[in-house]
Amino acid sequence: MTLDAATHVDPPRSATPILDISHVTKTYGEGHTAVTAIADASLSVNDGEFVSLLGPSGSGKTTLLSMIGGLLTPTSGTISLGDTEVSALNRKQLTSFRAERVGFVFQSANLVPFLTARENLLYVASLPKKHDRKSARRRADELLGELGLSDRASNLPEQLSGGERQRVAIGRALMNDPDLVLVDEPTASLDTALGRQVVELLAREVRQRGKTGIMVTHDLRMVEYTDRVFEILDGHLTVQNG
Amino acid sequence: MMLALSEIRRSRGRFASIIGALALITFLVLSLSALSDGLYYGTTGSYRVSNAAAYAFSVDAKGSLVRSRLPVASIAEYQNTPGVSKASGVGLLLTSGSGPKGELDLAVFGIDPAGAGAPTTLAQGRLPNPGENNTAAVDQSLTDNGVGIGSTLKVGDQSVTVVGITTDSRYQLQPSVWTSIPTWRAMEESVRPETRGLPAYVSAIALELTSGTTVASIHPVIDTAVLTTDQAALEIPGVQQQQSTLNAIIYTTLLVAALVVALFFALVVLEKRELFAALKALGTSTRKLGQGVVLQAIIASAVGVLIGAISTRALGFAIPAQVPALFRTQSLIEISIFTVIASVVGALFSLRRIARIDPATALGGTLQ
Repeated sequence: MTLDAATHVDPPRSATPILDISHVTKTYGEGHTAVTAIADASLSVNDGEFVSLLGPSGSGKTTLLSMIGGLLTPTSGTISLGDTEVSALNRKQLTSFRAERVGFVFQSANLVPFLTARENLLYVASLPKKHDRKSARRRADELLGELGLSDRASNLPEQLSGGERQRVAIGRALMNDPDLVLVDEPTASLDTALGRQVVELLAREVRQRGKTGIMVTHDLRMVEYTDRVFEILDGHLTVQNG
Repeated sequence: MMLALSEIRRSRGRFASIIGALALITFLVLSLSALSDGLYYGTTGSYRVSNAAAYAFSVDAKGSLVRSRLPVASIAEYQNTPGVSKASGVGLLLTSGSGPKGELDLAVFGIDPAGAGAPTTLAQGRLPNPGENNTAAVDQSLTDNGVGIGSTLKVGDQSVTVVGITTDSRYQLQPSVWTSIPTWRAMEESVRPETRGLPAYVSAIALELTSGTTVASIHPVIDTAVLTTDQAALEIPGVQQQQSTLNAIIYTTLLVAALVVALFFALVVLEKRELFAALKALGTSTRKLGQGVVLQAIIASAVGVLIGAISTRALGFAIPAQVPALFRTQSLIEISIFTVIASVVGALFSLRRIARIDPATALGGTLQ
């Protein structure tokens, strides 16, 4: 596998690791039928870095992303974000962890169909325990403006194009000023050109805001927008270009 | 909250269907309840408006005025029973008579107007005076047949002049005629020849009790049984059967309401699995999603019940007076509250489904 497109990645912005994954294993099932989705994976991502997890379907990349985002708990090993050991949180703590510290961009935008673009952003702003409605409104308008959606703010998802929807999803991920932005195959439901635009925008937003981002993709062409590439195959992680 | 309300606002068509279903169910339950109330009130009126606290029947009558017959001597015995302040004879004759507009079904009550067992709901005129014969106060339902104060009613060879109108005083849905005991007895002898020449009797004895005395503490005179007025009302043939049949239909229908709502929200949740998974991934708690569903159930059922209640009231004005339906505000409020509760209970069944949705399924096409 060649990685020509990824040869000119920017160096990491700072050398402080914010995400630390240490000897993480995820096994489904027990005994003879046990399936290892992730085997002894270790990696760390620095503050402000945007990295990609590249692998074919079934490689375990989504499982790893789910564990980083507090959606799945590792069978063994630890995951830490800043001072928080994510792998040690209980269900309830994970719910607030996700609301306050993680921004998700899903494969298909997965917006709330009966909320307008703006309301979709305001909805996630209402999830953390501490929230300020007034500043949330300002922030939502600001984000929609940056994403070129100012005149679409009052539209329902069904009135938006696929690209616009994915842009709203990016706004939603950034809405709560998360420490970590997790992106799951953002181009899966878009054509190549539109996919590129969306990833480019995503990379720009993540960098501008000094966010740390992880993008899962199977598309080699998309990794050029990220600082480092981790390749994953059959649950085993290798660092490319790190 | 924001999510639940926006969904109702923006998916009105979908919620209109559940609101419509609940409106129809409420309409059905309220109509049945009106019929049940109408039958009960129409059947038991003469007891409910009586000033008596209890009635003494002959033992073998099982609390039925029609079957009971007591010698007049028992009246004096009850007057001397401790705890009894007033005891008066009551006679009942279910018969037909004629009024200004022809044939009528009547429940003729022979009473002592100054004693126990007299009706308390006089709307116009007066009761017969003590000792006055061949006058009567009649139930208001007879005014539909052209009967008014001054009219003459004939039963057999006897006739009475109407001197007063009482309300809500029917017996087994038949309009009551409240007259003196001698007039009642004369009518009975006229239409039931077999009773001619029998020694003086009454159907039952109405009792008023001294304050602080309970019906259970009254020692019954030999060959008699004492029932409270409420118990006696329930002993009217058919009353309990009517009530239990209609109540069974009402409770079943409320159960159907709960099932309809349960099914509706089960489908809604099934359809929104993917969305709920994403919302959970974004950090929405199961509790918050559940609260949203319950709130939607409350709103949908409240609106449905309101529409159903208004339609039932409208029906109340439209149906003919012969239908024994009574639209009581208390029943309306009770049933409305029960329907909303049934809906919420129905919606609660989807909570487990919501709790089982795994937020991890929001990532990846299928979980790897």
